[in-house]
Amino acid sequence: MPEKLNKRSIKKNHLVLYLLMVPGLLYILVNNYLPMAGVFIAFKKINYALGIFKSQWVGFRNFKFLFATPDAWIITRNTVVYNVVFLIMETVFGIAVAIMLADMRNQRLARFSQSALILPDLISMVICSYIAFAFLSQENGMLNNTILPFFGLQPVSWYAEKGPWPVILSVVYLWLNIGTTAIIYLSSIVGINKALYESAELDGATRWQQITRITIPCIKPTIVTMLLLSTGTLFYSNFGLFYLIPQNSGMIHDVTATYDTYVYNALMKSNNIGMAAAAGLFQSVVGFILVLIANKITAKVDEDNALF
Amino acid sequence: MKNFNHFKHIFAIVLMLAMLLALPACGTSPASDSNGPVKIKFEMFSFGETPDEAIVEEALNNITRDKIGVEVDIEFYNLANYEEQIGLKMAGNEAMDLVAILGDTGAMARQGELMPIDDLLEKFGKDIMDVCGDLLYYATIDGKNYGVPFMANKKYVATLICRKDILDECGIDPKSMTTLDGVGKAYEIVHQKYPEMTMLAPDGDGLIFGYYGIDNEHVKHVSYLSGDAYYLVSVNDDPTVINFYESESYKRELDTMRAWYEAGYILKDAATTSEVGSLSYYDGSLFSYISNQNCYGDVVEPIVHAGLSNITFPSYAIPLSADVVTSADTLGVGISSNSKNPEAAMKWLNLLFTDSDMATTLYYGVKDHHWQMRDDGLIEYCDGIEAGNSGWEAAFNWCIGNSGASYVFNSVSNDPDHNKKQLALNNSAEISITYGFEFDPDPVETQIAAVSNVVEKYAYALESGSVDVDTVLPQFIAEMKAAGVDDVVAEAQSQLDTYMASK
Amino acid sequence: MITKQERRYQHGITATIMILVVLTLSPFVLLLMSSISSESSLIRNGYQFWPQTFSLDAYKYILRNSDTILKAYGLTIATTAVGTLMSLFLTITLAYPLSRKSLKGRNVITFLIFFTMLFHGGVVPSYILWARYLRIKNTFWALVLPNLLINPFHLILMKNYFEHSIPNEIMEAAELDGAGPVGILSYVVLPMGKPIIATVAMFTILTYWNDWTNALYFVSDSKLWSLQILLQNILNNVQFLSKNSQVTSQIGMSVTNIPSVSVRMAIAVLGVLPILILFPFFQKYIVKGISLGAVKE
Repeated sequence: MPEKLNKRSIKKNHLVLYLLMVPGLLYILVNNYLPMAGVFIAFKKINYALGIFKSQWVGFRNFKFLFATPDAWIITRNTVVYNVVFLIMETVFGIAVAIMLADMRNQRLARFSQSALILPDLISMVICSYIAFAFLSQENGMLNNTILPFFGLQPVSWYAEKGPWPVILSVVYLWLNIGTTAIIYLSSIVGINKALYESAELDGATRWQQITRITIPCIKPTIVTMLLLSTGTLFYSNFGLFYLIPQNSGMIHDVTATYDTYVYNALMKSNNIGMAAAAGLFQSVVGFILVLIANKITAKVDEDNALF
Repeated sequence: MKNFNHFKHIFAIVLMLAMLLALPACGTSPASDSNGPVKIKFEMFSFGETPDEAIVEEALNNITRDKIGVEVDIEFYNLANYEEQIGLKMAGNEAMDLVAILGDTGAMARQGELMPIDDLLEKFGKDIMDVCGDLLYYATIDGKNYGVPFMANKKYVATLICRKDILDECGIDPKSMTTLDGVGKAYEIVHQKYPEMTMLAPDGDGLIFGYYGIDNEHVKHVSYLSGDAYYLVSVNDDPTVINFYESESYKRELDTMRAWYEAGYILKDAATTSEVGSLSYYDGSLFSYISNQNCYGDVVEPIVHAGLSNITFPSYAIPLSADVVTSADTLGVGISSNSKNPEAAMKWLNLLFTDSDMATTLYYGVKDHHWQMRDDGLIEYCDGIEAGNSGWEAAFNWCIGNSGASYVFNSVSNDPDHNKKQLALNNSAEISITYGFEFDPDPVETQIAAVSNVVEKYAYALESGSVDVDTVLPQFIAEMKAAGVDDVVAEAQSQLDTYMASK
Repeated sequence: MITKQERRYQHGITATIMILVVLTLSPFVLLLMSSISSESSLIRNGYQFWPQTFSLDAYKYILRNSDTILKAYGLTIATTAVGTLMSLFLTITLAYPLSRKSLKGRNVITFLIFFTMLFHGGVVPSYILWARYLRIKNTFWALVLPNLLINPFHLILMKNYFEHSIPNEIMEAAELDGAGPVGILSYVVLPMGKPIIATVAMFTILTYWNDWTNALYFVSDSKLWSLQILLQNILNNVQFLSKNSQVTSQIGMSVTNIPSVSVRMAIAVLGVLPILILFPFFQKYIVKGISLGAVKE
């Protein structure tokens, strides 16, 4: 009988578990929670001579510019819709690529491919915008000068046409993120017990059946977690993607403007940290509410996989 | 179990490391020497590399220590993040004295980053007041002055830089090109001869003619009233505030650009390119671009390219707009509101305005190490030092102090008094009647933010000529109004009226 | 015996992955080729996959002060190594206890950690905390400690993996053998958690390698600049100089002295190089899934 598992040692084990968490929690307390007090900057008009604490309170005034713009609907729509579309694509393609990498016979090639696919994470968005410009420029761009003529098509003024941009931005987004997403799913796939597949094969299951009956259910926790976490950032957009890649071209503004590009354009000349803080706080609150809702729903449907 | 102990050790070490974090590291507080020279800090932005900082500071201190008992410690920040860094330092209440101003003195003063310097100027800044004269009061808020402007030729003129050799070849007289019409005619001729060459492309911030207002047949002066809302202008010395984007002048400029774009003179990518026109120009594939050279009156001059061997053709600089000395967005230097040594800082600055050795050292490096005096009164770089990689690529010569105090490089001019003459030209420039007005954006900050967004959306496209003016300009104006630009104009007008009445 | 279907499947996925790899890598090739193009050909023709004229001017310009760059490389490698190790330690010691269902307060703590993903005080309070109160400015730790040590996203991923992908039976078996939590951690979780640990390690390396904000805010002494901030500064300077010709003309310098277009590309290449070389080593751990075989039943 497991005499070692008496009450005392269970308590001791618990204590050790808590102790293990101390350094990490200490760091989070210091690095994340202490500065959070600074959230009040969003409600102040900062004057450095008075100091941050003594500066004047202005209530919700710093938030007004978020709603005062005629573009409010456009930026909200763009931010949310793009994020939803990106999320779906990223999940579907990410899982697909992960499965392909896992199943590849030539594992050396798989390893090489993995390294290659996350490389885009290394390039700054500024450089990405130069590369995009190299393809889309009217004078020298590769699409207009080389690729389109090859297919007998007319050159297009890319930065002036609204239509192609949802596609262009989606492609760039996938290019940036497919690698890391695939690797996250891959690490889960790799942890699946191989015996399950072996017995399925003996039972005559096809690849497709193995994927849908074994792989996907086994990585469901990861999928749910990723989706839940993404709802929190539904109101955030990748600034570099929506501002730098379209080169801030006004003609395609309606399909590339997002919440973050608006805040940047609005505050660029004024250096007003109160308003900037207000913009950030708004995003945080919206995202937070969304996650709470999503988590509640998940908890009802699939309790195991809720975040908290 | 062996492993557990092993783990415990690692655990303990890391906990200790965590404790170490809490200990103050090497936070150095400046030693205050009550008997020795006063040490001041100078916060400055840079756009080049300054590995020789230590010897330059030493050379400066050698001059100032004996004369006024002050030593300086310069801290550089990269240009792109400068304002944010100063804000952070202020928030953290870190010691600063002199603070370089990257253009919006009013904004820095309103945020409480600068201290008023009127008393300090009276007591310790007499030379500064002499050199600057009326131009000193460029950023007054409630009657108090917050900054010392950079003294140089302050006439910013939109200038067309174009190929002299091609003009000569086509028989075009550059003096005929001082109006938009004249430029258009010249483009037509040149374009016929050189169809592969682009005539005009944006230089700098992506706008072809920036904020200068090149419709100079109708507009003699344009005066910019705000760094935040740069479309607020007063025109031709009329103290009425106008939204430049709604003016007839702007429409004329746009129509011209549109005509040029459709004729193929303007770079097709003008609205979105991040490439810089001047590069293409010097590479030979661009005929002209518009820049803001300091142009001297309405004389059309070939540009002095002395000493620049890799430029293979001569150029003209043709002024395209009236000259006006305007005060918004002026470079300069101020004293931080939390400075502990404002008197020493003012003394140091004052000496900089008159002492040639000090000024030249600050701008270009150590005497006889980086630069040396020549017999003809000019200076040149020492052997082995090249412009652009001298070891002291600081931005001081472009924004701090008095350019007239510094010696003149032989590659810039043949006249040792070149800089002083430049300065004298300020007197002939027409100073706008609104000089010194500081617009406080606070009452309308919401509208300004919303309008900024609209401007970003439309300005590049319109000004590059790539969209149809008659359909898009009305949209632009309508959206600006919807964003509240009329409120901004009204507020600016009432503030300007108050300011003009108080003069 | 490989069935025909299986062979087709393998060909299919190999082809797809190869296409993806080519598409992903081609911008890098563009980058590399542009960095060794002459400035003039870049200005006239834009970026090309095969340079019209070759030139190493961009690299020569950047590497004028080569020891600055070498120092920055060394510093960044050290920062990345130390930071990643410390981060892994903190993340694992947090993720493991949170993955145990029996831990009281588990949901609350997870929530509190997740909360920090969405809410931050901003740059100013963070700066005041680290620079003024903790006084880390201009020290090595300034590059390692602020903000990057724990990434809540990685933490949650790891917690999840420990919870769902490591069979409970194995942990119970170890418990029955008398192992305490630390023992389980070392003997069971670490070995079996290699895929997620290696993944998080990789992401953390990327985070530290790419980071330039810590150096920007907390380091004013150029001797302690990380590689990214150094490159960023060179980039900013070059762009500024090329856009403001009246500044350069005042000192008798020409804008044409700086190969600014190719320099941008060269900077990007220099920032990426070591990672390109080191990363393949990490892939081993992820692909070689550890399967302990069937749990002894």
